[in-house]
Amino acid sequence: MLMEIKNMDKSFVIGKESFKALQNVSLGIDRGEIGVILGPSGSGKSTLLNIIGGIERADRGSVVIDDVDLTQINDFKLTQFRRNSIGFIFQFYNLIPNLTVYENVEVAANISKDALDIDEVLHSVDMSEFKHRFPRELSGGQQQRVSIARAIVKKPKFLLCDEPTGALDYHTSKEILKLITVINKKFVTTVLIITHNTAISAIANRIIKLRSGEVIENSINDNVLPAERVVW
Amino acid sequence: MVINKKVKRTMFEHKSQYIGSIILIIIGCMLYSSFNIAMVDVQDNLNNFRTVHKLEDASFIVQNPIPNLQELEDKYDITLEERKSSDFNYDSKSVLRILQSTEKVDKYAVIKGRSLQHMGEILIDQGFAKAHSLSVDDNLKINNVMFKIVGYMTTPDYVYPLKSESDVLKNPKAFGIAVVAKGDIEEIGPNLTYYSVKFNRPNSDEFIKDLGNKNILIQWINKKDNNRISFIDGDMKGGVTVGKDLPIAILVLTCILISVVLTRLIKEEYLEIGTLYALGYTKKEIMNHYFRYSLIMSVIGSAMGTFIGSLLVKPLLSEVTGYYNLPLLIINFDMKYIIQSFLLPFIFLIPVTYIVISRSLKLSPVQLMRGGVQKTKVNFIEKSLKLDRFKFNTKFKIREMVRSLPRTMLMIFGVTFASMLLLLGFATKDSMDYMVNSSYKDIYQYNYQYTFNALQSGVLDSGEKRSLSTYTANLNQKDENFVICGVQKDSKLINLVDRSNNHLSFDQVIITKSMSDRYGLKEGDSIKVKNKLNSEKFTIKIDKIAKAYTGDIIYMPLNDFNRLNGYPENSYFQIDSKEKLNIPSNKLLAESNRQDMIDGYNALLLPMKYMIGGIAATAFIIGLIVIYVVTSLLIEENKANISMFKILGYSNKEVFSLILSSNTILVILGFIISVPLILASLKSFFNTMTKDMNITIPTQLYNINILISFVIIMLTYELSKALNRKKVLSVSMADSLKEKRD
Repeated sequence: MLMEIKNMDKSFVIGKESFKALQNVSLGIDRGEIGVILGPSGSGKSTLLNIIGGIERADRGSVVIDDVDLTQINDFKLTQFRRNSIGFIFQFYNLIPNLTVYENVEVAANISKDALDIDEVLHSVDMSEFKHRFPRELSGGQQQRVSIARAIVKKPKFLLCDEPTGALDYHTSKEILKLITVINKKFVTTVLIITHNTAISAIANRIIKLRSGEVIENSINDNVLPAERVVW
Repeated sequence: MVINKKVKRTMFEHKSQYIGSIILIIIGCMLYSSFNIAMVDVQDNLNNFRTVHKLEDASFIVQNPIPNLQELEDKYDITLEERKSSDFNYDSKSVLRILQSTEKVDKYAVIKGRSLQHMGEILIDQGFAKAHSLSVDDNLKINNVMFKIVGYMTTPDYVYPLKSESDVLKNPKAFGIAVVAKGDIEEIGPNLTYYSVKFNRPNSDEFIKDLGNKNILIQWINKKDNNRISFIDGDMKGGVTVGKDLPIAILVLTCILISVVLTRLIKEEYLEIGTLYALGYTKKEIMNHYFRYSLIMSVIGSAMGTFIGSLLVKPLLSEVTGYYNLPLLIINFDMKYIIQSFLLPFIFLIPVTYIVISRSLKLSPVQLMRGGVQKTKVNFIEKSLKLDRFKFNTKFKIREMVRSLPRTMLMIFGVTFASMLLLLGFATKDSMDYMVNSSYKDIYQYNYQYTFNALQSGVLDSGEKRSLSTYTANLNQKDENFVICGVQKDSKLINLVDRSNNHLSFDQVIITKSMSDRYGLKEGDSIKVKNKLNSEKFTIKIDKIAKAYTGDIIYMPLNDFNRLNGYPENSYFQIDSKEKLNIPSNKLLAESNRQDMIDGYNALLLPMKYMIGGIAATAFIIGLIVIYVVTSLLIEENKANISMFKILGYSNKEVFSLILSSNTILVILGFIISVPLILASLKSFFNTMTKDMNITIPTQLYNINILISFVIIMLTYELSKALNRKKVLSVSMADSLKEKRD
């Protein structure tokens, strides 16, 4: 198992009120799987993704990824973990506006000891011809491709996707999902997607449903579909 | 309006930027109000003192006493007074010059105590009194005559008490003046009789000619050529420049700073502005809202700055009156400068704010709600840099610089300004150092100089003969005064070198570099000169230019000097000597000691160090504010990038390097620019100051002080980076995840 979470809690203090974002969460994902976390707004999806990605810390419980318990390591080791093991894809791409496509991928390659060739990665996401363009000169789908290239260039073990199609139209969304599945196969990268679009769960091996910070379903999908066949 | 409630809240959220801007306004207004009020007060009081106490137009020495003063006064419509003085050796290292109390010209003013009422009373200058622990009511024995000190005083012709009118630096430990009643000077035994004259009409040439016909004029010194009188005018010009130019430069810097801060604020609030438009707010209402930021900063800054500046007027005046021998000044708070100081920030900031806001508000509500119009073109600088050849870190830093040109310009301008201020202190000291070393250590090799009160002749046992006289020539379409000095051909006690440091022999005509620069004279030029004392005219051809800055002096062979002036062969007015000579004081007009000058300079070093320290502290504060604000703006603009870097796994050190160190090149560039700029500014400043003085200050800046200044600026930069580290660390990674970016 690449990731195993046990009895994990996370609370936030807003003003004088304490708000429980996640309660007693336990779940796991095997190496090479595509997992989808489904849930409505405020269900705790993003908080869960942030904790898995080492951006936030759990209050209680354990989060073990690739034999490292993220709740037990210091900030420096957590940074090293993100650097070496995690790739992020965001809803709004989060590209650095004053860097070109190539340079945005280079941002990640720059800190990796064993990065893939940037040109090859751009080719694999079909963005080679745009490599000298700036993000503002690209469409949403193209920007998300660059975001994916940036995530995979450092060969992460775990690709975390936060609403990767949330800002895209139907056709572009399908292309992006296809790309994610291709990467999953090609690089044997474990993928975790959070979304509120239930249709996307069709491409996943594992489906986790959250409601009000609790896991209400954790199931294996026996009928995985290729991205081209997913409709919504 | 309810939206104005957010002004205070926004300012508190980004308090460092606003407090920094306010501090700059405070410094600007403080300097403006304090220097202008104080300088106007000093100038008014000085003018009043000179008028009421009848400052001379010139003083002169003649070989024989003038018997018909009243006749000359009537004939030329002048005020003429005979004066007597006696140089008393107070101790082995100091001379107190006892002046006879005058009635018509250069009348003394009492600073403390009372005026002379009886015989046996004396008034002394407070600088000398302080340096020798002399107080009012103390007794002072001069040449076996006992005097009681009844007060401190000054005279208009000794506002800057120099032993010789051609000296540059005063030294109260070595020289001071005192005034006694007419009868008492006779008791002491005067050793010099001279005359002070005040003209009511421009007829000095006729008067001098008449004097020369009936008598032998030994010395004539116009007040302009008398450093005791004219030195303060140069300093006043310097003070006025500091009071006007420096605050304006600070306010220009503040304008750029505030415009960058406001532009950033408005860009950040495009969505809110768009929403307000959509809700029905007018452009005027929104503009009024953003004007409040500038107005609040201007009101707080100018009120505090003007108030602090007003409080500084008194200490500043005490400092000036303490340094110069001036009567107690009446502090007159010129409301003009108080009002100007208060309004100055508004005058600068309101148009800048208007431009910044109106440019931003040109966008439509829809464009504003979309976060403004995104530029799709890469600017020329960025294109021309061909950044692909660089490593990622370098590319990122360069892009940050060229993408935000106003911020980059602010950083360069701010660092240049702070560095210039810092270098100003060092350059002033280095220039003074150079002047003293080159003039009083390298050029003049004698230790003692004796000036006679009558023409001398004969062979000397020791020392070197010298003669000098004031001349006039038409230079740059104006009659200008300068000194021609006759020097023995084999002189060993004056060491002149040319630009390449080659020794210059005295068998030729040599002019000082300061004179060459001031009047544009070159080697080979000829000038027609007229002796001010005997009206002899002749033409001299300049052979060489010497690296010397003591004043406007032409050196020529003594024999030629005597021949051209009609003086007997081998005659002289001055002896320069390595050893102390035993010359009766009644034969001397003046006696000076090179060591006195060096001691005077050394005495000036401590206050100069305080001045450099003060300037360096101000430069440090200004540098820190600008660098800190620019860096914090950089962090704010890059919040999402920092967040992203952290998510991607960049360590804190790597993020610091990318974000905080991206300005290093700008800081270095700003410093490099400041060096030639300060040298050029200081040259112009010294020229303004010394325009009407008998000296030239060569602008110098030693490498070691450039290095020290650079280290200070870099430390300022490192400190501002350290202060901003917390801001970088506090950028949350989670912020980036849901942020919509273009």
